[in-house]
Amino acid sequence: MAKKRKSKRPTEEVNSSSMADIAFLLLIFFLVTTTIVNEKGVRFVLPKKVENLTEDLKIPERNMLKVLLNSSNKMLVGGQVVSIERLKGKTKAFLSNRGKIKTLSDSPEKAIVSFKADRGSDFKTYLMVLDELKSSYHELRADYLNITNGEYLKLDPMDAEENALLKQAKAEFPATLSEAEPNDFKQ
Amino acid sequence: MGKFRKKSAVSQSIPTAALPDIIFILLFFFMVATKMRKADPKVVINEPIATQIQGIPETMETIDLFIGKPKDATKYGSAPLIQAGDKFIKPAALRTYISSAKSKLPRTKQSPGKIIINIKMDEKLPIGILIDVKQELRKMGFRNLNYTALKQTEQ
Repeated sequence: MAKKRKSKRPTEEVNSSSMADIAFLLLIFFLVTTTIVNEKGVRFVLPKKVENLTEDLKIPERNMLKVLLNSSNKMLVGGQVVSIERLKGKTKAFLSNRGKIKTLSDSPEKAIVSFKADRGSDFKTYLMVLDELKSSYHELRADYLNITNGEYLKLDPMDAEENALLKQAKAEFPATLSEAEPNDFKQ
Repeated sequence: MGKFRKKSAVSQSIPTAALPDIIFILLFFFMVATKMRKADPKVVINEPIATQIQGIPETMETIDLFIGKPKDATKYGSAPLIQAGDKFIKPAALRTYISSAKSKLPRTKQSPGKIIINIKMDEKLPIGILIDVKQELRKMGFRNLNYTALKQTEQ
């Protein structure tokens, strides 16, 4: 055996070059096994279940905007055929009328938007209409708070300050978007 | 100016000691940003586009329902079906599914008011099946829905 000389001794370091490979393997494993789950969407609250519909609610005609969607994806708003592009304008005019025009609502609190879709209409159109109706409410609320629609959507109900704003806007424009009971008809 | 002399003793290798750290940062990013899917959809779902997209609050729990045509048409047929968990169910069986899914959630989050039913439905389907599901959910008192949709990009 040869004598060891101090100057030739290798550096005392743990070889960490394979560490990167291990980390890569872990990374690839996670990339393969997980998917970025899209859980964002359009939120909607269903109306309460009514046990007996014998009681007729007396709602004046002017405070009710009826939106009907048929199986060929055509829309009837307040008795008129309306295209999807004009729905938002119509709804906003109806909601923010405050008694000015005779045929539209008395006040935002009393105004009710009733949406009824046929079983044969497709989900894409259904959601588009729902989205437009929601955006009418959201835009009116956002205008009331002097913020943009995008900012309104980001308001966090967990944050005390932002929740106060939300409550304020909701008090001004309560979302009385209701979905009418479906008829028991088959196409 | 001096002459350039070829250095001989300098090692040519790139130091790779920091490489694992970089990879680990990437790894942690993916671990945080992604979420394990509870069930794999066995139905074809093309999500519709919407503008009023909102996330689900972190305090709420979700139960997923997939509605679409089966990917495996030879086995399950081509009629739209409701997938709950790993199984296809009829609207009438929703009650049993939801109550069993509910019992798996933390005890404080089992009331219908704290649960959002997350509906993923194919955009081309007629909504008849969805109406049945909604009527069933209303009977049970689960009224919070989320229709999964993609955000419309501004043009």
